Amino acid sequence: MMDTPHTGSPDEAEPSRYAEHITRLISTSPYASMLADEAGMRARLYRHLADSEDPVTAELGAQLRDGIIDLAAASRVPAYADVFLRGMDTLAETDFRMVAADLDALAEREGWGSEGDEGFNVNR
Amino acid sequence: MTFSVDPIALKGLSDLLDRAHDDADAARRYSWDESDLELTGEGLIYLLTGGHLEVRRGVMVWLGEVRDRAIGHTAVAVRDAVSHYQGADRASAERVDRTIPGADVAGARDDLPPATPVMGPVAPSMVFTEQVEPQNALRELPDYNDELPYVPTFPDLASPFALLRTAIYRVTDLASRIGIGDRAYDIAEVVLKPLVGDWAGLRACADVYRHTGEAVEQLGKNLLKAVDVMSLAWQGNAADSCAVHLAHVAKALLDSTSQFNAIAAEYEGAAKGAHELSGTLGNLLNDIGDAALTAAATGTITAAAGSTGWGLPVAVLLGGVALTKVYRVVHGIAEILKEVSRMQLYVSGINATIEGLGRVDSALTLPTVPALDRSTVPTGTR
Repeated sequence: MMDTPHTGSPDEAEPSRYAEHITRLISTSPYASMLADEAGMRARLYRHLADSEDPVTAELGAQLRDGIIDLAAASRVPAYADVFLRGMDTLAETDFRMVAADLDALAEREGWGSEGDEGFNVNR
Repeated sequence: MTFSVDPIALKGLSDLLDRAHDDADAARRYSWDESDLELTGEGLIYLLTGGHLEVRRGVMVWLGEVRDRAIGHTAVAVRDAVSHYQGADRASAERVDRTIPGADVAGARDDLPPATPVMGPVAPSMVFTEQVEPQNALRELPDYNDELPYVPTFPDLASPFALLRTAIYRVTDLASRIGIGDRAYDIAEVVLKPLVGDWAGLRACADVYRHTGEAVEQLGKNLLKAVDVMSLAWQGNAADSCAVHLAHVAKALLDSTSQFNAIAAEYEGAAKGAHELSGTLGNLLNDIGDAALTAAATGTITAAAGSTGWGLPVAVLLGGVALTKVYRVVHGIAEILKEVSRMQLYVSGINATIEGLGRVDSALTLPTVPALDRSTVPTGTR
């Protein structure tokens, strides 16, 4: 599937194509069922936050994991605001073109993905 | 046609009409004063400005006609007739009555509710009494501000710096940069602006018009009762003409009830729509907020080491979790805009309907109230 890169460089592609490509690729991945399990995914997310080395992030994660508060309530706690804001900063800086290319590479490495799907082989 | 008149009893009719005049005036003032809303701003309620004004004016003009043309002038005419009869002997009064054309009382009250039975002899001063007190219908209005606050309460949006607001703004900003959204949204503006306004006052207007309709209906019943007891005080062509006129007025008043209820139903519908929209937007807001915060939490994790530690590569985490939530926020915003747009159409429709209902010169609106033909009632100078 990765043999036929899309025409033109990734820079020329419509930004929405990265997002669509990522979504399509994820849906055909072996991770799809795990991601579709909303409750399971959320539990994993909270557990992972609770395991953080940052004490405030860990506290937030523990509160969420143990069901003491939900995300909306957590967002109203000033101390946790920084955790969310840092996460938003990371997202804002994320290059989804690179994410698409990473997924292409992962799919090729792990042998999944849809036949004929054009990839974003970004030369990193 | 037999002629007879009891001036003392007939004075009771002019007194009853004076009281009916006051009732119509009270209904007019009530409907005008209690429906005074400030429908300004950028919210959806603004779309009702034209229709609301038309209803207020229409009802005020119509009740003015009821008060003056239909009732007030009749009260004056009956008072003049009482003066005439008090100063004339029976023969001359009868002679004058014969110059007045006859009128079909039975025909005029044909499709009106059945006559009120008159039980036993009635003292002259007691002939014309009210069946009900219309002004009792002009009740104090409930306060709907708890149900429909001027600014809807979405706790997480209370402050301009609320994190949820920031999170949604930044997620929609990201969405627009990666081409899956059109722009960054201040969610407070999206969900609050359409709903801000005096919807509680608008809801109370439904009660205003329903109460006014009740008062007008009771006024009609009182006039109809006067028609039914007229012959106890006054018989002849002039009496029949007056009875026919009052029957026509009573019919217009009784017929207007359905119009007042229709107006009230539109106001109630608009307020209910706003209340439901508030609930729908609140639910969507919770959903969007949750998605935006989950995306942010995912970002927190991916900011850590390259490996996520829970069996998912970073790219999968970003693509499968964060991006999915970004999409969810974008779809949620679209759903909100769709709901607001649907409400906009609904409110515009209501505006057009109440605009029509408020018009006094349309066949579909408040019934025309007749004026008394002054030549059918004798005066002191005749």
